[in-house]
Amino acid sequence: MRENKLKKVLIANRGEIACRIIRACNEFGIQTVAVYSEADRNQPHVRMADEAWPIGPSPARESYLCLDKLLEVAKLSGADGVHPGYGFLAENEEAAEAFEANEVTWIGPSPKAIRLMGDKLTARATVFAAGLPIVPGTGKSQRMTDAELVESAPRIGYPLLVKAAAGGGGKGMRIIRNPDDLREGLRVARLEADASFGDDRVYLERLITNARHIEIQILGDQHGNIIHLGERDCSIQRRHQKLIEECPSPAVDEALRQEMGAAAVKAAQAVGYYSAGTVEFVLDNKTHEYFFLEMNTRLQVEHTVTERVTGVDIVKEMLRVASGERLRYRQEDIRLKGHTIECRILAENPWSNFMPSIGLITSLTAPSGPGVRVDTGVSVGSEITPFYDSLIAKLVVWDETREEAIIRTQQALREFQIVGIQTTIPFFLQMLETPEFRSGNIHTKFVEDEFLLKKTRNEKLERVAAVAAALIAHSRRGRATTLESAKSHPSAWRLLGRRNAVDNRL
Amino acid sequence: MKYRVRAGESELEIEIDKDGGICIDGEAVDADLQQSIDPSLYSLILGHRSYELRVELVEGNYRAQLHGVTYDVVVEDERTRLLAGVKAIGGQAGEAVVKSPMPGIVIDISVKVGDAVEAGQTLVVVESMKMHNEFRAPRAGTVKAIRTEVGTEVKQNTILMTLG
Repeated sequence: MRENKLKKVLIANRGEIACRIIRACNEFGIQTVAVYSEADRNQPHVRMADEAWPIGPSPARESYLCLDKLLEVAKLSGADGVHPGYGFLAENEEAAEAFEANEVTWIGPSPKAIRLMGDKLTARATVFAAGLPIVPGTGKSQRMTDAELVESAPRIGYPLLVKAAAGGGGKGMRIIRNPDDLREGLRVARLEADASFGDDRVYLERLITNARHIEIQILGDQHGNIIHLGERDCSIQRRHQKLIEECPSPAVDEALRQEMGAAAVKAAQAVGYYSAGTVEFVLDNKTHEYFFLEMNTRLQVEHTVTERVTGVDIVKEMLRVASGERLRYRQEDIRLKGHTIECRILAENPWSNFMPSIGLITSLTAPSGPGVRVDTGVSVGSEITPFYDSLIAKLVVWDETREEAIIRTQQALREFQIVGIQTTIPFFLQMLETPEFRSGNIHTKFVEDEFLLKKTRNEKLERVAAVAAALIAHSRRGRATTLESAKSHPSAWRLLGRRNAVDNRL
Repeated sequence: MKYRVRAGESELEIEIDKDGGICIDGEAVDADLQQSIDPSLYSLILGHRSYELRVELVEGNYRAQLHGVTYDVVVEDERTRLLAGVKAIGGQAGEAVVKSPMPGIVIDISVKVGDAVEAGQTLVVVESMKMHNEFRAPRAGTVKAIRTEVGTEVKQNTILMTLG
């Protein structure tokens, strides 16, 4: 077993990512400390860890987001490292600083990198200075006259957005499709911006209508080495929530991969980045131009996709980097092998507008077989509560080609049985059938604008469900009658099973 | 015993006799259903075709999962059909009740008592799993009573308001 300088790691998170991190620690022989809220006492991460400490009531702001409680647990348990996972305190500069000040190693990037990339405008300015492309626009800081804006419009390109500098929530925003409409658009946007924010400054930005979300996984050490692990295509999303991620992207060839990878490395270098991180880009499907969106200074939900195609265990690498080791990979060692698709199995009802589905998981069968990985943080008896996000499992499927990976994912989805709550499994089964997804011809608004979940008719399976339900109803009725007459004999369908077994004997 | 069974868009008549013989729409079939030690897990062999299913009871009906797809199944015998008919006649009330279909925290109430609302108008926003869920008026009417307030934690099926 390889040694790691860290001896005991606090996992400041819950659910599947807590379980994922505990596994990596165990493989290094590092002791693990779990924390849990009142709602999570019976969740798997508590049972998997070497130690478990309660940190208060169910709402996250009273438990998983309480920095003082987490610092206290680190101190009392004697943890020498903390892994924040994703969400909660993962991109909180203060938290990173406070743990480091208490001599608890932050298993993630430096507080400075978190700060520089955390503020969107600073991040854009930083990466722009480093030479990365950003969405063409006039920038929102200085006041520009209508004449100046009209003059800069051709450089930005159409369609474009007029946006309020003080804006938010779509107020003071106008889509302009051709130059003739620009002056009127500016006038209306200024009026609306002034009415809403008391500030009539507006700016222009290119509107990318047919876009993909492409992100590059970064890995760096504390000795200045930094590499990328290729891209992930996360274009299947709903309300900015990713639903499917895959690698490689059907829209990225080797030349573009190396170009975007090098750009991402530059962005990371600009802030002295180490540990795992992700540089997000928007890729124009038509022009193949790409623009920097933001950098996530943490481990991401979909890191699993990259792990499968590169063979790099990203969480173990984070532990190595945090204890001061040098990267064991050079850029030329990184090769993408085959194709991986991840489906986020959410406790949401795809039939009623993805409404949260809350309840008790009374039974669960996860798929398995070659190339199938399931990361989950729930088990039978887990209560799905309204307090946290709805991710219950990640189904990560690998095969040699994209076509085969889609087929294998469908097989795994059909095997996946979660009883007690509704999940997004039926959504994925239909999404993977669409000609658009199959051909890879998708964009970030595909789910919202073009995809419609259908009640597909399968008479054969409906008949099977009907027969099973009728037999169960008959048996329950039989049992009720039996109770009334105080007799006890096997239920009707058990008798039926026996009768058939005898009849079918050869 | 005769059952009228609706599964998805299919409606079947399934007859199960005393010996467990089974007819679907008058046609005899071989059916062997076995329940596992895991009570929602079933194996059904229907004329030598084998199926694995999950079946759970949801609000008096059955929810079956097979091949990744969920089917809600309603099974009625003569007696329950009769009862359902009576309920339908007696269930016509002048009030519409707006319930929370899930637990969460009320973060916005966009109407007040006495307001006239249109069908589909947003009445209440409940936050659950970091998502905002808008509940809309099932029909046009007047807000008669509001039974919750902003910041309240509500359970599934908690009555939020009534419309007259």
